[in-house]
Amino acid sequence: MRKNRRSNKKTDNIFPINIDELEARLQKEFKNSPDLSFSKYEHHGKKIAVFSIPYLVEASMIEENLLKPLLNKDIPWTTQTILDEIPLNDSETITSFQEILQKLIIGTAFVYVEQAEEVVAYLLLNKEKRSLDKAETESLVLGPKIAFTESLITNLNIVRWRIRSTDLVMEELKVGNSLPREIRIVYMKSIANEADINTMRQRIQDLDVDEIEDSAVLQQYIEDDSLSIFPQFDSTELPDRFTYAVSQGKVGVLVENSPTGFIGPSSLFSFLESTEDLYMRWGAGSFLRFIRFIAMFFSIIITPAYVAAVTYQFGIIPTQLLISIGQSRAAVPFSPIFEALLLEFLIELLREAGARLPTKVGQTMGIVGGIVIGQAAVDAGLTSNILIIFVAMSALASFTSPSYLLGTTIRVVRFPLIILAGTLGLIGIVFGLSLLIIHLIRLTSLGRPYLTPLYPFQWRDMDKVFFRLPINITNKRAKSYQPKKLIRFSGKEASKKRDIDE
Amino acid sequence: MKYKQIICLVMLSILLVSCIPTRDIEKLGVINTGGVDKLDNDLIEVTSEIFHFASQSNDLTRIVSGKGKTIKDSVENASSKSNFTLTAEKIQLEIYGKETAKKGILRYIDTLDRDASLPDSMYLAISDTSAKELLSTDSEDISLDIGQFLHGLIEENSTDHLFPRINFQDFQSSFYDIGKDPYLPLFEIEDGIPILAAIAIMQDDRYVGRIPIKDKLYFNLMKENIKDMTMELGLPTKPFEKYIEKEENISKREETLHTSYNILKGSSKTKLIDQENLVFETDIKLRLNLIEMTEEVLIKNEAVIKLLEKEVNKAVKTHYEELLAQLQEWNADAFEYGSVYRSHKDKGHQLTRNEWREMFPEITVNFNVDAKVVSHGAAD
Amino acid sequence: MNINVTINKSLKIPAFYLFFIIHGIQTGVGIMGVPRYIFSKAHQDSWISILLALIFMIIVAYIMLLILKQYENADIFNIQVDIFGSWIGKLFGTVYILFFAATLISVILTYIQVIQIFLYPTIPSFVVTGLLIFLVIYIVSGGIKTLVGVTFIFVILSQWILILAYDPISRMDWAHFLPMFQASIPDLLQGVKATTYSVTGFEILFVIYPFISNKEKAKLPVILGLCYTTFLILSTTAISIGYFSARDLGDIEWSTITLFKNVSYTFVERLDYLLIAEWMMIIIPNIAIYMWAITIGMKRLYKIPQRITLYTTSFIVLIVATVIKSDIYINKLTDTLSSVGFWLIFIYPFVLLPLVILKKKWRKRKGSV
Repeated sequence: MRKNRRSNKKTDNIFPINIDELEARLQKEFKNSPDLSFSKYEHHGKKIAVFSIPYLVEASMIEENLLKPLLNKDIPWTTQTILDEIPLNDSETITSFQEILQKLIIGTAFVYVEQAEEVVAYLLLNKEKRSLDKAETESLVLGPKIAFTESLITNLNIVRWRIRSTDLVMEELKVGNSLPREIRIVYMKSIANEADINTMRQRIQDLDVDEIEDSAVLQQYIEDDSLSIFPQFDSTELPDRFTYAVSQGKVGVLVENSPTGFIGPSSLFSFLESTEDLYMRWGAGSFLRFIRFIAMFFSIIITPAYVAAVTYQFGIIPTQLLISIGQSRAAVPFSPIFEALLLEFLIELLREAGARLPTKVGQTMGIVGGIVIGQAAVDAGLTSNILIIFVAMSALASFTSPSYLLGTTIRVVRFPLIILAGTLGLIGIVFGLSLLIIHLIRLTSLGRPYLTPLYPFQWRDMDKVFFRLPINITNKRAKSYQPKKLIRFSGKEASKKRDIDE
Repeated sequence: MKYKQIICLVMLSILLVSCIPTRDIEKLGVINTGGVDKLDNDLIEVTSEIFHFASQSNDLTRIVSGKGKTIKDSVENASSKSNFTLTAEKIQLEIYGKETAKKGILRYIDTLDRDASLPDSMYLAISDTSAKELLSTDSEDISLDIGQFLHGLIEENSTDHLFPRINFQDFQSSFYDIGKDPYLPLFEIEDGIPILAAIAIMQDDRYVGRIPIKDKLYFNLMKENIKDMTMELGLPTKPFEKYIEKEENISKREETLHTSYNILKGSSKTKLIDQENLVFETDIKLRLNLIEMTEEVLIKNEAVIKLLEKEVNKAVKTHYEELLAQLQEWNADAFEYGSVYRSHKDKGHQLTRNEWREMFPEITVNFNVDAKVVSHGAAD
Repeated sequence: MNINVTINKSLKIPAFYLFFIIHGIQTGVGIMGVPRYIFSKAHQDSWISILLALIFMIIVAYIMLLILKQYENADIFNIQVDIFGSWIGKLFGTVYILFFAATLISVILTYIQVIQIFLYPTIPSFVVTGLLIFLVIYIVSGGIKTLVGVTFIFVILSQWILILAYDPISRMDWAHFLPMFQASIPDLLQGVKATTYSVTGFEILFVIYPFISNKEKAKLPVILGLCYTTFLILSTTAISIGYFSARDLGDIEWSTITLFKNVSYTFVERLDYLLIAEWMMIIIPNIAIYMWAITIGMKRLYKIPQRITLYTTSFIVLIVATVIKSDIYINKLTDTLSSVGFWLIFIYPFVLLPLVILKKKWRKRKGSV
């Protein structure tokens, strides 16, 4: 599995070489694409070639700092004098032709003096990137709104600014055989658990794939159980969420060209945490967290419960409700399970269409779907109006998840549960839930149990996941992840009480 | 490994699809209220009010009836006459005709116990007329359907688990416990509208007599602690003569002074005093709030309150004695003295039903009423 | 054969979870019907019987721990081989395994019976068995960590049922407990014995003990687990006695569930339906632990890989549970099991303890000479 480090320098060392020959060779590689700019100059009788791909390098830099001194200074240029005299850092000398090609396409400008032993390369990367933006998929009411961008440099910049400490390590790794991509493992070296860091590094290093499309894909490659429908790493586009987790001793990963970072190890509950809980006062924070837990449970259970009750155990419905459900069911020609699946499918269609369409059209979509189709479906006798309420509620509940991945998982889980409820009634639901719980117990994230701190039970970590306590009490990091430093600040100092009127 | 499990699950679910018969509610007739009448020649007739959900009809409820040898047989019979499968899973009220109840209702109870799909929370009641007649009452004045109406009558006239909310479980408990006799609410039709008219006193499972509904308070008080209930008492006017406001009171005085109280707290406790002679003592404790009086008695000092309390004690005591005498005449121990007797029984001997039946008419009970008027409203 | 087993450190569990394991395996189908059996023996004094049973259980558990402490890290299968020699020891070990298997089947059969009575009269047994076995395979193949996790979480998840007991408690008639102290000593002892069927299971201590990481702390969780189970049995029995009349309680097969037939709230009624469905979560840890014990036993005795035992046993259980249909056979099975269980769990440790101690002494003397 280990990546083969190619050491083919010997085989394709073509230097020294004629400049014309070099140009011919390069042009051959860039056949059919007119991107390569290859300029030749004559200086002190020596031929000098400067070549790069213009749109990948910063033209002004080449102009000002490379060409100007190169042509104006009155010294005979050799590789060594170029390295010494040209006012650009980030320089190196390269002898391998393959390497030249690889560097060329990531924005390097080369200077070659004819018949020299090696070529001088300057990394003058001009990477187009969007400016920093507000987070789109994870929005917050309180707290920083800034989001990661596709530029790794920018992301590292943000992270570094948020954690201004020499403790912060950003290890560089490269993954992808044919299309390599830079990956950074971000952690606090005095806090994060060594085993977690090693596991993460090991898994990424051991990857033997041609390319990593995005951080989400990398995530799937290195997950513990790739068959599970539950996400095993907490991915986020919010730097504050990312850095908070890192500062608590987790290991973060950033991928070049991906606006989402991810964090491990995570537990099921960490997907239901929002940094906003932290910014709220503890009472409100606990309440919101509680609401989210209820919402997830509700979202999974409500439609299957309806199906089970209407198909088999109508005894559990109170008489008054039974009358209204019965009356609205009477007009529907389908069996409850089909009716529920149809409506759930409709909601999923609306959601998917809303996500794909441009924002402006998306809003219209919501109105069309919600009002027109919903109303028409009831009028046409396709579904009962009670079920519409249930399905809408459960869709709404699933959107309360701070993590989009978990929200999607929850919506997917609903479908098998509906089928179980439709075939076995209440027993089916309990069976489905049991299966789900057992699956969650078996699941791990970076080798750590997925349900921690519930199981393995860690009483002291309850306030990290299920509720929040006043800030002066929460002076410890989560014990479940075995950080090197458990204590964040001295609890004694924080909760010291002064006497009245002191 | 994982794939195997998934395949296994898929196979399982395919297997499951056709194995349990579904019971979609729109295909069912959900019995809400049942009525049982015994006919001649060993047949019984079950009248039930059902909910049925059909898109074409606006009527939600319907009355169906069927005849048969057993309850289930009769329901089956009724089922064959309608286009729904009748199910009693949501039954809320079961009514027995008075004539049926006189012969005993035990034989109709068995199915309620045996069939686990029936709820225990259904109320039982007796109808003064036949159950069929009661359920067939069709009056403009009842906005609800009859079953819901009767159910509502019971629900609204009681708090907690007290009479007239006698559900199947309560009835069964009182019936099977030795030294207890059950009592049920009794419905009557007055001016075409069903009313909750009386307490039907049962001896075992047989109806033996009725006591007016306003005495339900006395029965509830014997059973459990009560609070926030209204009690009306008629007291003799005479002892209050001197406290009655003289000047304004020109009209002729009534013989009885009618008073109403809100019971803040009421409790009772029964002790067996003399096992040989079957003497019991029942302490009744009432904390009252005077809310109405038909004469202007000025409550200026403690003496008036004391007098009032004394009269209340006397009135309550007399009423209890009358009730007990009535119950003893019917030989139906609705006040559950047998239960107290059984609790004090010596070791090694179990009280039997028949023994108590013979003893009950012989018992004497000393009622000690301790009523306190805690407040007398906003007026003196 | 080496008597002491070595357990990988990552597979060890803290003693704290013993509470849940003991409670989880003791609370199964037994509690659904046990009030009736205890009541039929000890009547209104059943609570005394149950408390006596608790004391008895604690003594037995103490003896079990004492036996286990004589060895460094051994379970019952190895201890028996050590004491009785390879042949008889293996035979006794097999008896234990058969007992576990029979209990597993009886639990499944009883649950099917309840489902058929209350929920679906026509559901085929193999469907329910299939569902349960599927979950059990999934749990047991996840190893002991998963097993303990499932026990822990499912026990916690089923505690909400206790809240529902509020309603039957409010309807209790306390006079049903009077007159007190009527039952004779033999009656009470009969009641103790009747309690035992629903509390079998804590013999699992013999099997799971080597997996405990901090063995010195094992005593407290075990005793608390026993106490909590007893508390549940005591309260269901007491509520049943107060709620049902004496004659009625004798007739009702599943009194604990019937208690909840009366509970209704404005948003949900017929809590007994929910309860029976939820009971699946109570059953699952129960049968999973038995299944795990069987696989471990076969591995210790005959060196059969756990996976193979798991699949074969599952298949056998599926067949047996499908074949046995009649109430009478099920009742016969449970009766036999409760009497065998009484001797195996409550009496046998008393015999084993002196033997183990003698053997240890003998070995020491031999070692010193």
